[in-house]
Amino acid sequence: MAENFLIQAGSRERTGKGDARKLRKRGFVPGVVYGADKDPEHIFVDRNEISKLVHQETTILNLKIEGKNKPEQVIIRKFDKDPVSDEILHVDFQRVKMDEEISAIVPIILLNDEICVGVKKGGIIQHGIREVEVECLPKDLPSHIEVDIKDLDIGDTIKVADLVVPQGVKIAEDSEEIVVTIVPPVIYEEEEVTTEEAREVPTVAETEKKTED
Amino acid sequence: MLLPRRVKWRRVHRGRMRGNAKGGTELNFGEYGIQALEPSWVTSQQIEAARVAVARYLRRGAKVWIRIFPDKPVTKKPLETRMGGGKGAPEEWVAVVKPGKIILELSGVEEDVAREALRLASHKLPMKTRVVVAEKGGA
Repeated sequence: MAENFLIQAGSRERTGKGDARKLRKRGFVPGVVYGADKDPEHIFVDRNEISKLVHQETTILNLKIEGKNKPEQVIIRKFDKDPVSDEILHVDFQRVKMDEEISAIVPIILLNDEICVGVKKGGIIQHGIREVEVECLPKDLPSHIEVDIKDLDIGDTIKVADLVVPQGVKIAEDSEEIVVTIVPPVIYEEEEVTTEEAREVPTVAETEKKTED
Repeated sequence: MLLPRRVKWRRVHRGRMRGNAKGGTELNFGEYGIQALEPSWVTSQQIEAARVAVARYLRRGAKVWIRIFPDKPVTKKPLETRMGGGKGAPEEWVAVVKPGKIILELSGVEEDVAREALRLASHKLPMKTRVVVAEKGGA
């Protein structure tokens, strides 16, 4: 687990959408840092720097806020993204105490998907969940969880209960939740395309009246 | 063709399409998808045409998910009718799509094949779109 990322952040005196927009225009991303029984602080970080980090694996970062001597250890709890431009709009950092358990979202990475038995037979890998919530001490936080699907045949499933996690890491999800399954290939038959007209659809009131009769 | 089984109201107002999509903006099922870049009404015929375009190109071995549903009735008055006399009869069903919405997803094929299938599908849709690819490992 890499812990050497250092992010420089500035302190925000003013909040609200007007000031947030001004910051975004200048190439910054507004954010907040909270947790560890301290008061939340409004901050801003460089957009280029944070854009690279949010797409990386979960890790503990060192956040150095302008005017403070010591960097704080944080994780990226959440970030908001514009759905069209993919620009990062806001980022939440959570302070971590090294001796206290934290919960974090960790990506699941599938290994050997190209040599998977089911895929060779024409099956399709279908993801259930792609990320999983884990609880652990910050020092044990895995950057990702690997799942080997080499021996998975068509119809086989890997559930959350089957995930192998490092010692000290607990999974905080339903153990029956499906992580990955190999589904049989779908064969599309050549079908006649009908130009069916918009059919009358009953309204709720009509169907209720019918059932009453 | 997609249409609701029953509805609360037979005719609804047209409404406005302001802003971006609030949900359904990330790939949730497949590895590749088409994302809308403009607001538009997508009719059930257009959705079906896009689905058929993908199915014809892929033939077998892929899974397709349609992420939008046409639940809004659009009415039309008969031709050469004078104005008045109430709102017209329901003519078609549309899905209201705002920028950022994922329209369809697919998985189980190579990237170049998926891109071509989605390009063909995008020609059946009434708005500008782009192909999005899921990040390996993450969502």
